Amino acid sequence: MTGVHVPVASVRRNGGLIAVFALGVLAAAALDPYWLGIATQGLVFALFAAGLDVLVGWCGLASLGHAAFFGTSGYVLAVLTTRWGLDPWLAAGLGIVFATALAAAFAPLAVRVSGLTFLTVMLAAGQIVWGVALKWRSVTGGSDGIPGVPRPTQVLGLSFVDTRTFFVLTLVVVVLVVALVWRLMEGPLGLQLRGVRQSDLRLRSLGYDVRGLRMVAFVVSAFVASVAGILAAFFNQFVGTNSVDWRLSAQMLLAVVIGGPGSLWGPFVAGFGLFLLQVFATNMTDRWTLILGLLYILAVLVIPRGLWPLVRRAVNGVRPGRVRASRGAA
Amino acid sequence: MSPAAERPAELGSRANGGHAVVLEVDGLCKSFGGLEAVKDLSLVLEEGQRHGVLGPNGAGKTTLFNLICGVYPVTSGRISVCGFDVTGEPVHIRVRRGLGRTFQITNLFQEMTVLENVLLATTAETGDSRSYLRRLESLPESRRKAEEHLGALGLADLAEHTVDQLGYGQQRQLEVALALALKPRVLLLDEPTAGLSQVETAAMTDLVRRLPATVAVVMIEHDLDVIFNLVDTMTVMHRGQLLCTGAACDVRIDPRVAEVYLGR
Amino acid sequence: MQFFLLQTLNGLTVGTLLFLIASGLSVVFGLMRVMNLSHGAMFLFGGYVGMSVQGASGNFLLALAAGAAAAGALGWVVQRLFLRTLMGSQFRQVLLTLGVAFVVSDSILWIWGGVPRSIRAPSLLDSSVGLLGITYPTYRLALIALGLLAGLALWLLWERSLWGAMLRACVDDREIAAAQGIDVATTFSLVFVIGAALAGAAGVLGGVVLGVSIGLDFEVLLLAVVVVIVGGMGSLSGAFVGSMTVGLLDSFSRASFPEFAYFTIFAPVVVVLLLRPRGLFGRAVDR
Repeated sequence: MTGVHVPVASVRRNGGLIAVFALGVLAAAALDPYWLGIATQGLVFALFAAGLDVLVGWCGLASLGHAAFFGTSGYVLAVLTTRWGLDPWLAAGLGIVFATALAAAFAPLAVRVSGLTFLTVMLAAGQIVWGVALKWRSVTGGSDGIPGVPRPTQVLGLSFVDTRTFFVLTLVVVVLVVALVWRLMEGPLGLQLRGVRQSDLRLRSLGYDVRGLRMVAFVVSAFVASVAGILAAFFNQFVGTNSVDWRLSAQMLLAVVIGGPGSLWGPFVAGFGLFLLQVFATNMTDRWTLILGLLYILAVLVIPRGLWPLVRRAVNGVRPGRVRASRGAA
Repeated sequence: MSPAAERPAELGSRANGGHAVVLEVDGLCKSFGGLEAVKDLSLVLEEGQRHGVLGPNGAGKTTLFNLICGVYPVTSGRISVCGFDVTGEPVHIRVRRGLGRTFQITNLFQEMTVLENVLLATTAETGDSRSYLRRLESLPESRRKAEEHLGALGLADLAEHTVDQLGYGQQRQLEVALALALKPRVLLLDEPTAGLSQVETAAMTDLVRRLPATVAVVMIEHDLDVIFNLVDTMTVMHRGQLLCTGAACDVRIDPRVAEVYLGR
Repeated sequence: MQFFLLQTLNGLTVGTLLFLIASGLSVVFGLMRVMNLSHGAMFLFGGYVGMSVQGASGNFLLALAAGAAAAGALGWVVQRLFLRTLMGSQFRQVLLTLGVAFVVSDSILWIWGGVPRSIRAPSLLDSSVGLLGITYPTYRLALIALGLLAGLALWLLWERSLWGAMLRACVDDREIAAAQGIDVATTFSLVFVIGAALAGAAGVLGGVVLGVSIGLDFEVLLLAVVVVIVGGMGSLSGAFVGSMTVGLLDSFSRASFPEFAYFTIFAPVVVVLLLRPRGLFGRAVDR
């Protein structure tokens, strides 16, 4: 090849992960519990959005129903700990397994369609889960939800009841999961998913099972959402119908769109940012939904490919003469 | 996914001359609603054979390709690749049985680099496509093969360029490279010289001539000088049906063909 | 028997409302390949406007006209926003409608507050009728009749009129229709506005039966989306059959197993898509 060639992607991945971790450690040391709590939740939504990017940005399938997986894992955790007294760590694992298995079971059906049909199918599927959460009072507590979810039990003397330690736990989990997702997207799978989005007929003509690949992207994004859901349930020590609400799915989809589909960091930062915005906005006004709607409209009209390509162009513009290596944006 | 592992060692029935039959199409029919696009078309292809498909526009040539590849389901008839009956199989299964194809309208991964395009093909061929946890940089064999394919086509310098930065002629060549990288037994070329300049056409013709002898080639082509130089046998289609088939030189002088097609 | 009759009539009532809403949604999708997620919000907006107008004037018909007009106007504004992104992807257009849905929904809350309200039936129909052993509101029967009439009228318009032929041409092939001299852009605008107005009218008509309340927009949108998916996108007959089916399913399941009401609605969506991704009556659309 043309000499030593440091892959652009791994610099960006490693640099980003280190930056997030470093910022996180700083925050853990410097912020007071209230802001740490905000940061924890922000990281949760950042993770959710990043996972969704695998399906939306890489594979090209937009979903309005992924809160189903986010909430399901949380509900399983809540039921297993509050009703059956299971160890929180075990319950968390089971919650993730259950939600991911649910995704795996639904995936073969879901990928039979794509585009708008897929979007609306996921909306409907998410509502099935929401409906079950609302109506099945005996298990889910209905509109009251399930309170009293314990924090994970002590590890090496570290108590996660403390906001600071829980934040660090969240930080570690988020960084690890994002690193895993990056690893997957930088390998053959990422390339194949981009192929699915750009020309699925071409990919089929190369012998790839496109439906199978879509299922993989579906399950991966559901897995990440379920991990985020566990963290949220632990943090709030409560699970309710909010966690399976379509508005959560919509906000996460917006994060991907605003952040820049296919960039992973764009949706990550946007997921975090949108949550911060929500905190500020709801402190000042009741009209967060209105603002969110306007953001959607603005995003679609003004920044169709998201913010990340704009950021990259600003950064790359400083370094001329670089051969453009496309990373599969919108 | 490793195509080589899924192909039989024995390539199906052996026709006259002791050459294996790599593609067999039997009584193929395709109707779209009331329109009969292909009617009772049959074809047998041996290993390494070079076969042309001609016919006026609308004769059903690309439809035939789409049927063989599995893009359209057949209304009736049978298709088998290397001895495997693939009549009901989806596209990707047929490809794994040994079928390769280029498209009439260039169909590449526009936003990826040239290298990434070919890597998708070579990772499939080497089986690296399932190594999900390894980075692309650490798949040396797939990378080497990709670079080789690009080098053979003279596209090595363009490896890091995205496809949409390539000229049309280069894109057409890349199409062929992608199909070849899978080491198909049968290659379907859909109008490979369409839209190419004289120079590019010569380069493409040369490329096709240099294709490995183990690959059977079926070519749709409008440029008569090009096709008569490249194929041994030929099928002429008219209105979805087989008009005549046989050795190129015989078809060339067949009066029915002249009437329908050559005498335009 | 009485239960059966009651739920059937309830189902047909809901089905009628759904048809008025879903027909607009389905045709807009068939024509423009846009799934208008703000359609439910237009329904509710029409309903609230109608309620206010009725409160001010005491006149049901006026309220109905106002609701339809308001929703139609809103639809016109949204469509103008679309024209800008028309050349863009379907995906972005859908996201735009999602944004509009949020904006309209929250604006409704802002303007009218969160207390559920309702619309009074016109005095002429504000009574009940004895029917095969049960007493049933006249208004609802009138609504069912209206639904059948509307279905017939839309069908005639679609299949038998010149304008309908133009629309069908646009659905089949936009470019050829344009080449034939059909003003595609204006046609789209008109269809979108009419669809929105129908939804708004449904909001007023439904305001008597369902009331007007926050959250109804999304519930209705979901049901309409289910109808469109099951019935087939772009198909009026599909919208009709789908609406009545969903309406009946909804009524019976609410009455019989309220715990699983949502499941009984959405599970068929999943089943239909397993068997026929294009919906029951749909034609192959861009995937």
